[in-house]
Amino acid sequence: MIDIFLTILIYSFVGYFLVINIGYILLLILSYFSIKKHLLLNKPLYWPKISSKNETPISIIAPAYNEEYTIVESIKSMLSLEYSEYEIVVVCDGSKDNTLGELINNFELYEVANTTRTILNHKRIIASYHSNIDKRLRVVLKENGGKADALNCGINLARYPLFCAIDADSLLSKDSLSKLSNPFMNDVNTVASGGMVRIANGCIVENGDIVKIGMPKTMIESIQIVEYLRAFFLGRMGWIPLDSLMIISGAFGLFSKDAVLKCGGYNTATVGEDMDLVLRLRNLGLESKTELSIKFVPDAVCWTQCPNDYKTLRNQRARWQRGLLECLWEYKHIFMNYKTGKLGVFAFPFFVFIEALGPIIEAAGYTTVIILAIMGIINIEGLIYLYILSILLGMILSISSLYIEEQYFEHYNKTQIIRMVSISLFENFWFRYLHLYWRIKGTYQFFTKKGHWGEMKRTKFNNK
Amino acid sequence: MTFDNQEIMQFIKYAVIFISILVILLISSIFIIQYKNKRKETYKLKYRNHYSKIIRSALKGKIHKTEIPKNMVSEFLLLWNTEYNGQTDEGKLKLKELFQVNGLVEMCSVYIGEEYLKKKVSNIHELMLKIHTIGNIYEKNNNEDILIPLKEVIRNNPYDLLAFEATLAIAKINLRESFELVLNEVITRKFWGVTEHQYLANIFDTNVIDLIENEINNSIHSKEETKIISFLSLTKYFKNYSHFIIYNYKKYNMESVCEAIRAIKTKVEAIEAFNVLKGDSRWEVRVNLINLLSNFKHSPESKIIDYLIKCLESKNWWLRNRAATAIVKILINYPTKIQQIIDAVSDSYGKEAMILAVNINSNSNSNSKEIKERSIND
Repeated sequence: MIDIFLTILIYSFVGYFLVINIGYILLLILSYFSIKKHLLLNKPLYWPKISSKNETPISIIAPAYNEEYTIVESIKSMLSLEYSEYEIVVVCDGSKDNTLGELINNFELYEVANTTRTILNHKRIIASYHSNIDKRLRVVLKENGGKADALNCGINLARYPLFCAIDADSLLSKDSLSKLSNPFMNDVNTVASGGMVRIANGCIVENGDIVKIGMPKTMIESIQIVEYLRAFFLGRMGWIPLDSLMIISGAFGLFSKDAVLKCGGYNTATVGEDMDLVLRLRNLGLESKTELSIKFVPDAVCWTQCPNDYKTLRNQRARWQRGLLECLWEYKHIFMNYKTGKLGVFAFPFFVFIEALGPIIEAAGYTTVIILAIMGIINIEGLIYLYILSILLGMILSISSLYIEEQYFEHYNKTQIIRMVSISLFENFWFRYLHLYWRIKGTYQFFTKKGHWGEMKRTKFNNK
Repeated sequence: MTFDNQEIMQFIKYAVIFISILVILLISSIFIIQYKNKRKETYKLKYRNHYSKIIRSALKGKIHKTEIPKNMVSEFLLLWNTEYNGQTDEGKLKLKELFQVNGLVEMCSVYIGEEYLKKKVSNIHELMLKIHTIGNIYEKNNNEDILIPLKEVIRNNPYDLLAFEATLAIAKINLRESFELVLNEVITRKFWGVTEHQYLANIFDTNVIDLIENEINNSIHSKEETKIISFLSLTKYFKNYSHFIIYNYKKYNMESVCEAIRAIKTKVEAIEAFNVLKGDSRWEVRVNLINLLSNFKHSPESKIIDYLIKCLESKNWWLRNRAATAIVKILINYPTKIQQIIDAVSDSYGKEAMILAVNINSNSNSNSKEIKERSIND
């Protein structure tokens, strides 16, 4: 009886391991071809751009909480975008530092009366400001209510039909907004489009613009560069051919204001508000039986700061895991619901079994295999080979993402690529397990309803 | 019991070897790609210099723009500049010798459909450059011998890059005769976006737009009307056309109507547009109309002010704010009237919008300061 049980258990873990890797490799292949197709259809300009009158106006909403080190550079970057009509709404979410002071000093803000009609509920607005330097910039100071609450406040304030939600510690590439809005121009059913988020740590910034792409000094930041590439190429672009994209990063996404208002805005009850919104939009489409399109634009780039210490990274990853579980639980009716098409049959189960339950199953697998090896039940040599195989498969995913990066985007030089290749090998020996532990912690927080957003430590951008 | 299945062990070993090889191959291919990209850059520079030399020797002049933005893929920007290519008659003659039309169709027909993707981009660039230069040097010169191969290029190329250049060249050479062909391409080309349309629209002049207006009136292109209108809205002479769209606004899409409103420059036209569009309840149209009306002075008793007051009660706050700003701007010399409006507006949000507009304006205007003080006292 025990024999049968152990056999089933071991084969289940091995089967799960194979399914995960086959799933990721398939996503990788899909991602490769969909990026190729995207870049062909959105070919770069062969002639100088004529400024367009036909671009849909966009409101950029930047929720800011304790961002005094980065906010000025970020706003400068936003003000220098190549887009015909847009406004910037900075929502100071009750910052404890001098975020508002920095904005007032650098952009000559003056207080104006607040006349917002509340469509989405949010915490009370304390003061509203307009800029004397640039009329496109507006700032509101509100009571602290979290990122989703600040975004809802920003949506109420937004004047334009599209809004772009970005992190206030991010820098946008000059053409990013125009590229991100392309799906809205090409397809009337588009309600959201997400952009690529890259790591700005180590890059040189001048007047809010990335002038030199660099690598951060510490290992923990460098690992995140490879991680982000992997996550965006696999986890975003890979789902596009199946029309099942479930996440648009909170750091950079463009949404139709009408559609977001229809589905009630951001959910303030979850820490995974970005994924929740996409699922809300999908749900809206299913309930109203309308065709909604959600796109990802790999060449629309937003540069953001990643955590540079273990504590912040731990909180971030635990929060992401908690957010993921909260969203999947909230929209559990999509799971294996054939009426939802590929979303319910492929993407949602993939997220449940591989992304959400992955850490628990992986940890259980490691523990069982180690115990059985100690007891002499399984062959140590086989175990070592299996371990090497898992490292190699992990490397394949990272290196293939680097391959896609180099093939289509060419952001990094030879030395940086060598460093990233070595990172993709060494991360398997320690970071992978640390990450696993953080995700399990996030899972624990979800079940015990404990946990908080966590403080994000910011540093100044490297100015030229 | 022990799990010591030799077959599985063998399989895992082979998998390890296979994936190791795959990893090594992937890593090497990354560096190969990097090396190739570097070579491509060098090649681009050489290629650019090659053409620069030919042109320079042909025209015996300097190339006026040598710095090309790094993010622009094209190495031919300097050559594509009409100012450069069409400087003198002598220059044009020499360029005609350099860029022969003969064989163009055969060359272009190689790059049909999917096949295009497999060919070297540089060859496509060369052809694009040739076709583009032909358009520049034969500009406004109705030469049938040139038009025939260009039309063939369009007909033979379902793929868009070459067809676009050929359409652009044809439009430059004889737009009056070929506008139907250009419009047909605009309608049927699936992957032409705003950028392509802008370039073509730049060439359109008032005479041609008149011709198209007649055609639309005669419903020749009834099915594609919207697309043509959107395209025409990109032309420099859209102003001449906006009158027509406003009077037929129910037929056209909202973007075109908004464009038409934005194109209005005189007060008479603005009042005409107001009379036609005042009943339109779409907020996009209203925003544009409010912006337009706020550019001119109107009497405090005019219907325009009534319309703006009505907009103050809109459910859209951006509309209320714009209406309030417009009222303050128009009636800046009538502080009493502004105060009366503030008092009379029943919608509290509308009232707030008015106070905000006065507030913003008060920094620069003494009349507004007076109203602001009065509002605060009230």
